[in-house]
Amino acid sequence: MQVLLEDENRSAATNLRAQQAILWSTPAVAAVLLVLFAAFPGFFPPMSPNMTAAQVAEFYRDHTAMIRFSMVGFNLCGILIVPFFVLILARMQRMRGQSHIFAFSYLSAVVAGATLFALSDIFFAVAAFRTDRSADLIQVLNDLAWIFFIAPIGMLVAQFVLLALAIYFDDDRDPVFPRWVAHYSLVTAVLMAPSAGAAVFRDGPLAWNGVVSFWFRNIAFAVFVVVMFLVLRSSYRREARESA
Amino acid sequence: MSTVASTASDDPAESTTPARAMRTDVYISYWFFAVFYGALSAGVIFMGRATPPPRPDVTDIQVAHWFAQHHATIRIGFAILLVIAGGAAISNGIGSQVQQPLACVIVGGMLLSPICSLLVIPTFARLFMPGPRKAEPAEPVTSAEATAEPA
Repeated sequence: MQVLLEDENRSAATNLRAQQAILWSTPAVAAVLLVLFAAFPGFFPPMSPNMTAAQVAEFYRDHTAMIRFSMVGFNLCGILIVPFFVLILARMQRMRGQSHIFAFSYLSAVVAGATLFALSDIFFAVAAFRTDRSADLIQVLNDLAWIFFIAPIGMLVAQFVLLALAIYFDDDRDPVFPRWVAHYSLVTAVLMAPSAGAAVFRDGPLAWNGVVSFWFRNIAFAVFVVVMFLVLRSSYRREARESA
Repeated sequence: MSTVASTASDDPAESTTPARAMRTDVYISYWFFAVFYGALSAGVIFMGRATPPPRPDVTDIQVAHWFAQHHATIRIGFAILLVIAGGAAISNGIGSQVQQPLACVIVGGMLLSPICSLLVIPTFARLFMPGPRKAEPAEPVTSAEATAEPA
């Protein structure tokens, strides 16, 4: 019996160390993604939906190398952010007062969201693949890339809502995450949800280059990752103290 | 539903939680699932105008006319669907826990199958199948015959 208990303790400690290793790899992954984001010439400032077909085609011809670099990089490295969200999932599975239904749904939302992001990269890359094709076709691919990048917000909203619900259902006496994380998660969902308007509007804050659809959405997501990094770190430290 | 609830109750830490509270999250997910698919169907049928679908033999002009006629409702309907599309994730999440053993079998099979295809089957084929028939050795052609003009 003593041996079994020691094995379980050792396994829990190894599991905790593995999760901490993934957590501390997140800043490196985030730095790589930030470099790739900055490398794409169409984000600073974001391309306008009102650009003519000729202007879009010219943009892809002038910046082919950097577009390819950033989009191939996103395809290789973008998926590396998923383990960070799996850490949140692992914490959700430790929450009491609930089944694991929110956690499993959260995993589905993470995977689907990452797939949609990868599709947008592919459309950007395809638009830059043959810059000698007709300007109208390049514009269609550019529209697809931008709308796939900004508008399909449902999976992210689902992630935030599911995380909030899981925290609300957690045991108040010994919560895995503090209650304010649930409120913050819902606020992030509300900030990001209007970017679905990018599929409808070509001008104003809801267009894909607008303040709400582009800047609020991306900054809210980046800040959420930073906040959850700190929350996860605090949660692991507390678990390490308790197990010690 | 009962499987999920019973799995959750296996945790001794949860044994003090009232049974009704344990199942509320499952009820919420199921009702969200139902409401999401109701909204999805209503959005696709009434807002997206996707039912009945346009005939496949319509001309480009007819397609453009159809989009021009319905562009407002298509935009509103599908923008709403983009926001609530996360309901599909919840519907996938329902039952995932009970499907875990099945997923292990599927993933295991997918991992094993390439090994069988790449190693085992070629090995057995090499051992038991007849090899390629050896070609008859051709008569050597002398350089004089090769350069000779045909008669």
